[in-house]
Amino acid sequence: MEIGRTMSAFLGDAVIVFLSLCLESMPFVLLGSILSVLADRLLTQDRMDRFLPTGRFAGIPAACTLGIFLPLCDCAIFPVARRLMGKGVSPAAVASFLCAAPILNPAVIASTAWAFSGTPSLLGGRVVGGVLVAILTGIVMGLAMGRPAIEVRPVQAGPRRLSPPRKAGSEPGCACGHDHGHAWRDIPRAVLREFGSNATWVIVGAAASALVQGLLPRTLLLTEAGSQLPAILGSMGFSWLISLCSNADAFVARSFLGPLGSGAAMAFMTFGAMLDLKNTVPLVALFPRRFALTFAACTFLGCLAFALLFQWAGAR
Amino acid sequence: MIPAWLSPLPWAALAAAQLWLLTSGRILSYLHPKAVPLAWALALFCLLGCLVEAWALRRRGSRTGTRLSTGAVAWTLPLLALAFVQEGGLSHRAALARGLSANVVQIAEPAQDSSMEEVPDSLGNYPVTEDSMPALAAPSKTVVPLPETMRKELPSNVLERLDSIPDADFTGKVSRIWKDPSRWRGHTVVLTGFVTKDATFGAGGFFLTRMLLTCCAADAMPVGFFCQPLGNALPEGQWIAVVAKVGITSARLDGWRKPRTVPILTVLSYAKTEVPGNPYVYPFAFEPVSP
Repeated sequence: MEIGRTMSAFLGDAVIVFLSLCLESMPFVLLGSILSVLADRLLTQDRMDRFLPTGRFAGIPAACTLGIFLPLCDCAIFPVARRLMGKGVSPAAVASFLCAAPILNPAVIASTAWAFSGTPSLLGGRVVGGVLVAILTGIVMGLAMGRPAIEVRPVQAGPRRLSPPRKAGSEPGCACGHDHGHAWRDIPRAVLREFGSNATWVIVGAAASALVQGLLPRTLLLTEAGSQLPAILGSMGFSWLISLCSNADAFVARSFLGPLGSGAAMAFMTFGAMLDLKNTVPLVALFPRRFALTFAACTFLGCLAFALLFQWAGAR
Repeated sequence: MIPAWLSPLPWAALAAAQLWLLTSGRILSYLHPKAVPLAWALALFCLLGCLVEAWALRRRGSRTGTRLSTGAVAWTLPLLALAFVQEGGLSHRAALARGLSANVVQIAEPAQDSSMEEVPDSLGNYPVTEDSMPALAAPSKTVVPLPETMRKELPSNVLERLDSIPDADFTGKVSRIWKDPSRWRGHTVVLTGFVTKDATFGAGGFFLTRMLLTCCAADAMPVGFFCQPLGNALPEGQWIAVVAKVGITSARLDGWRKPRTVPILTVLSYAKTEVPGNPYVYPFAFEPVSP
């Protein structure tokens, strides 16, 4: 009987967390999908070359600053990043974009400033740390993957044209390769396909996050640590598991500041914004495996190193 | 692969589910009110998706509709989850799992806010004067009705004002009293929350808890007050309204490196209540509890 009640409460809490993650992230996945489709329609090769230089590392600075102009949190980033990669942007630039955009966007900066009003070093540290880790990840990605023509896996829920190819100009969106002037008319369905593909993996990630949160007490990761390294590692694991939106994570990190230290709060805010369980699923599913693994390793080590540095600098 | 002629169905189902959550008000069990407009936008998008797919099917026939991959089966997860929704938001088990005392935070309210003065300095056996109770701000939408058993114990001049205390004021009380417990020692407060217990609280102790929600339920943290002495009489998870007197004690909580002065409420009167329509409270801004 008691087991039944416990299971019922666990399931109820997991359902609430799962639905809240879905409801919170989906509008941003939609926004990312719309931008992804618009990027596909608007960004010609000339424009791409102008904004994101084609060298192995040349696109990194531009990719880092792109986040300032795109008010996208971590849920909305990967559809755009996947589209950029599909259009030939270097893996280094895409990795830097994935790291920097969730931290440098105006909404996240504003919420961090609000949460840490009176402690500007945390806001500055988050921005600087985000940029440094983004550059580091970009450089490592450039060294590891160069600038090959990476083939991004196609949208799984995409259209399957069952009818045979028609005569050129006779059918909107035909497969003949000519421009029939229907590109803009097809945007709504393109957004639907893009959103459908991305949302599927976010839902799977949110379900995994909700289940793990229910099974693993937070106190297991966030109990007082004798030294800073376990506290920082614990907060990084915690941020990965709970998959908070980068717009809101600063408020949770604020509560770590006293008991766990500024390094743990910084690790929570930088690593959690770049990589969490909810977004790891689409990252692995939609990007090349080697890219996903390199990205995860670089962000983890970069954020850990920066958090230790931040803690050390604060203690002096 | 899912047949193409079914392509409008997932969009219609998702739109219907979201519209149900939004129109019934249950959306507040998951999201901060500020995020509700985004949920409306998503629901309308899903509705639009359904219409676009239906239009495409009608215009071109099912053979050229959008086929969905089997991955789209994941979309049924949120729909299935709605069948297991529990009333009252996250449970007391979630509060304990999220570190009841480790996550106690102080919340700094806007400087001009004086909501704490809404709470009478004394009550019951203590004289209450009009002077001690400044005028209240306009009540919010989330006013918690005071239980009848408690209403009988309160002087009428106090009662008039207590009726207007918004539920959101819980955050203000947590903020001010945790920030400077000694200052509020001896004051009487009226609070609504649910009971959580921890082995470290001692016999009769419990934590009057609310979940503080910043963005969505995934980031909700438990906040509230240590209370005594009714812990043994109250089951965990029970929602109660209490009239309690603020005291202080010394405690070393999880994650704190040394003991510090914390508030503790002595319950003067309580009544069991229903779960409020919106079980969460919302922050102004955070200040850390120094170790």
